[in-house]
Amino acid sequence: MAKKTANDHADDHEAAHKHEGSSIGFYIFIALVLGAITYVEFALVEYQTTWFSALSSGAILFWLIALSVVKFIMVVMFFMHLQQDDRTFTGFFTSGMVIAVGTLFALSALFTVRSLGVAQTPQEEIAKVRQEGLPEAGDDEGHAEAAEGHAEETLVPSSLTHRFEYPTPKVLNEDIINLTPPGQIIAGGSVQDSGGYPVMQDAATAGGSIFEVLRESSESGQIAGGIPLASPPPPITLPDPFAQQPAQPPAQQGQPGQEAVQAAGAQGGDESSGGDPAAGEALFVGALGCAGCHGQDGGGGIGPNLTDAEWIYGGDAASISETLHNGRPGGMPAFGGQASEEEIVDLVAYVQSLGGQGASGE
Amino acid sequence: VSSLAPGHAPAEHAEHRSTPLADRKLLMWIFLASDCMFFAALIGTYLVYNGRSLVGPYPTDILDIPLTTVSTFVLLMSSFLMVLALHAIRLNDIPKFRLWTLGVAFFGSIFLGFQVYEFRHFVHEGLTLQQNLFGSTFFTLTGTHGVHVTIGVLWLLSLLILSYVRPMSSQDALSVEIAGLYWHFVDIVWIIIFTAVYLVEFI
Repeated sequence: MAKKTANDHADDHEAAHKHEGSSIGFYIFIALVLGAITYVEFALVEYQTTWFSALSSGAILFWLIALSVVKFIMVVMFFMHLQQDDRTFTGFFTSGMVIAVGTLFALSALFTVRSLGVAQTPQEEIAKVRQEGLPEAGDDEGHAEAAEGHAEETLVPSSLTHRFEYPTPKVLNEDIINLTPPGQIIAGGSVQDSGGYPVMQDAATAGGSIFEVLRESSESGQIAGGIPLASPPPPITLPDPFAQQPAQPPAQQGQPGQEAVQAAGAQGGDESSGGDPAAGEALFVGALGCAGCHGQDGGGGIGPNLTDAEWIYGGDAASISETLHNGRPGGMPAFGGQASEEEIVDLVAYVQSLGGQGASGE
Repeated sequence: VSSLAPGHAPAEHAEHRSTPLADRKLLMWIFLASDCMFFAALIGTYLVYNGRSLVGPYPTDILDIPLTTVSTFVLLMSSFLMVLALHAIRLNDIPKFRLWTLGVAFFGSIFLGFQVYEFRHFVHEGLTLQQNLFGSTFFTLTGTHGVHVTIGVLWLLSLLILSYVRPMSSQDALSVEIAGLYWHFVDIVWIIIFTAVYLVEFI
């Protein structure tokens, strides 16, 4: 800070003491720099594919953060005069800032901050994930178990996922192994190829680590803790809750589509909707995000369980269609504006197949 | 106040720090520190829920970078005018103080106008407070900031009116300085929001 015009400061004792050297020219200079930085920030984002094509996403993120921190400090130092003012003010403000920044760091350590991950992900992968829809990763509650899955993994840098991994369990619970239905045991090491996520009803928080243990032990014949198994167990893979859903009751296994609808229609209402349950399922867990409230398997969550025999607003195709079109009180949004008529018919078919499943299963 | 940090003050500052006027400034800095934490919580919440909305509209669908850059620039320039206003009142230059203070309030109102336009546009596009996580966290964060700006505009206008009601003394310079601290703080919060909410979204 150059001592420029000291002009008339003398008539104000306090000002002369604290603000010598702060001239209008200096303030104009600071304002111009701030304006220029704002333009550079704008250009970094707006022209990132042309002017700044040499910079990676991570570099652009770095510069954006750096520039805004520079602006922040300039305003605090020169406009708020913290630089010239009493250190007590600096002390109080800095401790507030430390707590504030600490809060931000704590939050980003506890949760996945998407923008940090995106900056390190190639553009085409982001586009792919956006196109296919994120909900497969179980948006709201999924990040714990998502350490295992493709979609979320591409969004989260490995340094972050590492932090979310749970400690390796010491005891391998026999019940956990038995969760795997006998029919589902297929070739080893294919957990990631199954395309599904390990959604465990009560052990969702167990995340990937238990399955990691299962896979490791199945390959090496040893439990993670080093206890040898009597004989190498057969390769284990995870149940794929999405693929089997419409076809779960044995009676319906022949043709998952139509028969499921018919069974559900006979049970829950008077008519089948004629839609394609498989397409409906894709919408359910994908684009429309129904799974966010009703659960990946329709088993309920924030929203009601769709797999039981109970229909709050009626289980016939017309009622479900009405529910989808116009929503219901208590949180069910109207999807009439978002989904096409055909999509709603497919969804109705899928939802009916869920309801039939629970009723006939028990 | 001097008992708070006995070792810190140079001798010539001690007399100022022992006046009740300096207390008001200290209180403002403490308030700003607490407001920092408040906004950190809101920004943190926004970032944590970012990308987790199950239904649209999504941020990249509706956020408008050029428009927001202009409103950011307007707010920055209002901060600059605030400095000039403080400079003027320190020199007892009341006409210039009135001009710059009116300028700050005017630029602040323009910023609020941009925000009202933005909010109305978003609601028109289907983004409401209840629509999705993006809507809830975005409106809470930027709305809270907008309330801060509104309070700042009213505060500055009240100082402007005061200058017509009674003659301003150099004592009032401290009142202006404190209002200025608040105004600059609102500005730096927006600097962070502009980066964290708007710019980063489009990387």
